[in-house]
Amino acid sequence: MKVPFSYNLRNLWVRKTSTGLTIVGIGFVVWIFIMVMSVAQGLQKKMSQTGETDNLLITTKEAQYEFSSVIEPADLHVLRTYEGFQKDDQGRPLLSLETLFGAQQPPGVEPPIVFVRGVDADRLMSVHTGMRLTKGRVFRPLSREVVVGAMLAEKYPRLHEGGTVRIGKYDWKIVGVFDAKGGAFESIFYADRQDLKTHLRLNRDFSVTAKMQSPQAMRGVMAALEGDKRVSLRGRPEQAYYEEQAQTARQMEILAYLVSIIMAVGAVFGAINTMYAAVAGRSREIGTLRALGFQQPAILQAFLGECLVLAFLGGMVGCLLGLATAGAHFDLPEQGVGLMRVRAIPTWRLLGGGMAFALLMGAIGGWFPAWHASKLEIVAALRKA
Amino acid sequence: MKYLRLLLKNLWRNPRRTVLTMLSVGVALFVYCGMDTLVTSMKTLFLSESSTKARMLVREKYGSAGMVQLPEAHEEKIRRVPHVVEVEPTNFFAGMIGNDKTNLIQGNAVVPELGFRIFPDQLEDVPEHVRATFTSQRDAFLVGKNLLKKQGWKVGQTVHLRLMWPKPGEISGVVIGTGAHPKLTNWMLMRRDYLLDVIGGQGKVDMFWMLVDSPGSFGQVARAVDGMFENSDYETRTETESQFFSNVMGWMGGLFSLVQGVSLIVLAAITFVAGNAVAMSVRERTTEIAVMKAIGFQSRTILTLVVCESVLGAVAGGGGGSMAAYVLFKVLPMKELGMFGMFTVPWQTVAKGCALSVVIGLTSGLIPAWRASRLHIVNTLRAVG
Repeated sequence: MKVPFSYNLRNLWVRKTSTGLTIVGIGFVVWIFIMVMSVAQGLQKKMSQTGETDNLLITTKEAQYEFSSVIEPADLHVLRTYEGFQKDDQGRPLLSLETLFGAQQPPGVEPPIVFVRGVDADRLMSVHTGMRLTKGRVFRPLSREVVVGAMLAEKYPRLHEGGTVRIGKYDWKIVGVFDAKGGAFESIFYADRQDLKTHLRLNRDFSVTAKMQSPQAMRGVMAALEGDKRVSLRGRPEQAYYEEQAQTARQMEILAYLVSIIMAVGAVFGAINTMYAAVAGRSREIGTLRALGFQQPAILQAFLGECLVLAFLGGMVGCLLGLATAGAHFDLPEQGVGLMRVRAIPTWRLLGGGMAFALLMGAIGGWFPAWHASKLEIVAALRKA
Repeated sequence: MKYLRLLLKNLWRNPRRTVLTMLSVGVALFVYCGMDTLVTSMKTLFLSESSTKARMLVREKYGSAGMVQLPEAHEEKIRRVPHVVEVEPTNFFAGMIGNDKTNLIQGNAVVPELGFRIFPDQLEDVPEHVRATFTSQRDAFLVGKNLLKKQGWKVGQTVHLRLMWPKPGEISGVVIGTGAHPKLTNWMLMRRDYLLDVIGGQGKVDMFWMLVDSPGSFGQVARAVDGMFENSDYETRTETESQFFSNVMGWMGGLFSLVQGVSLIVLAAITFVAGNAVAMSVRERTTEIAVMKAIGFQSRTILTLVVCESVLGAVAGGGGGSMAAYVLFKVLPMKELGMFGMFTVPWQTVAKGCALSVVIGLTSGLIPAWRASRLHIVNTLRAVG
């Protein structure tokens, strides 16, 4: 027969302080896990959602980063002969030749560096289909105009529609604001490619972003590029490229696991202490229960259950705290994009993971004291003062 | 410390509880030291003033670092500016071993004779014969100590790098020596002329490092150099070494906030866990405390005794945890941990850890100690169980 659960619950209530402190200890560890993981995952998600699933990023074969890649005019000629790209109204393949620049701002200006992608105006929205203009319009060619990503516009009031940003020698006019499904592009500017190249003496294009007709077409072009001796190019799906770049996100995830697991050990020790004290204080009760006929497994289950309730409540506290700090934002750097603002918003999966983590702590912490309780010799236990 | 024996005896009353609590505190401080190391080391690395040498750097005005390069011809003109003692052109490079993208190796391509004069402090521990080799042997690599250890290289070994930046290519070199200065230890140096040979093309420079005669000349030199190239094809931005690095640090702000926030939660969590342990130990000894009060011990003394006991336990655990962090980080290569494996725990962090242990002992012990000191003698002696 099982020990009535109300017995354990009541005991938790009677030893309020001990129960409370242990719950907070476990709760904080769960909170740390949730908070850091939500930032890490938020950043990872931002990076993986950058770009479109049907876009192929074409760079030179050896270039790990877009920055070290160069697209020659000859490369473009060859690409135009390939099949599989979506076409524009005039039947030309949707290939966006792009250039990239990190523009140093004058001393004292925040942020100190902004990244600008140079694109041809007619390719901006047709290839980067996730972009939406929320204010203003697209830049005109050769007019020193830019559009700004929503995250930058939100974070820096002066980078709004109508404001300016320093690129090279001049202040360029911000004529529009765009959002891009929360991806990394919202931390950068877009400008006219020829305009950038002229003003900055940039004589190279870094990459080509191509809009593919289908996943098979994408695979086909990737394979064709690999074997094509005329050019030294390779294609990577745009989202995969950015996901791969998410170095900071990965480091954060490592941090989350490291800190949480090590701290969990500390919290488990705390739980063990609490449960041992609980058992020690109730040895007469345990002896009585055994004398009444409750078997050893029942005692074990009862105390393990008690610890699991502790852990469950701790997990709830952790989740609530994690939700309470969901508004906290951190500006984290990623390659070629700059600083991205990530909010510590936990997903349901993460909250679930936090609860599971708490219950795991409870199971491990509660095991030995519960086992010990179940092994108490009845007479000795009854005799204890 | 006439009560020391009493304190130790009390701590050892329940060895399991004391040990588990000390381990919990130890674990928390271990985590704290790890995280603090990351933040503090980066800050000291980048923000400390090199007070002995007045260094400045010159880079292209409009691009973020390394975006646009300067012509070699600038060197002579910069050299002629009053108060400039030495000028060295340098180029940044990055590569990997084989195809391992996660193992990024970064360094600077330098001119040894000039570099030794401009950075005597950073290259202090490089012996004379190594310097001579670096100056005379083209394919010489000077590898920082941490990097050497992390890669498992030995001095005298030939190393093959797959260059990724500035251009893809293969370079091989001989590790001729190592240096342990914080700014060098995770980095490597190669000869600039060798790099230029490998990547081909015209000689362009990422940064010119300058040694000026005194910090008082900073302003003058900056104005003179930038003024000289103003409105030319390659305009410059001249900064002091500390200005440049504090900009670099600006990127890490969000990361630091997160790490510091988590550190606080870690310390708070463990205070609760430790507080629970102290509370439990006091609860077990109420009769004893009442007797002590009955025979004449003052409330204040009781309070101090309990607090001291708590502090003793916390310091033993926390001090141990801090030292464990120090030892572990020194011994393990931690290649997989990315940025977290880069640093060794500075003694200041260990000291901070010990100090915080004292604080944890004080805070966690305070409330139980207060309650102990307020125990009513008669009622306590009367109470059952």
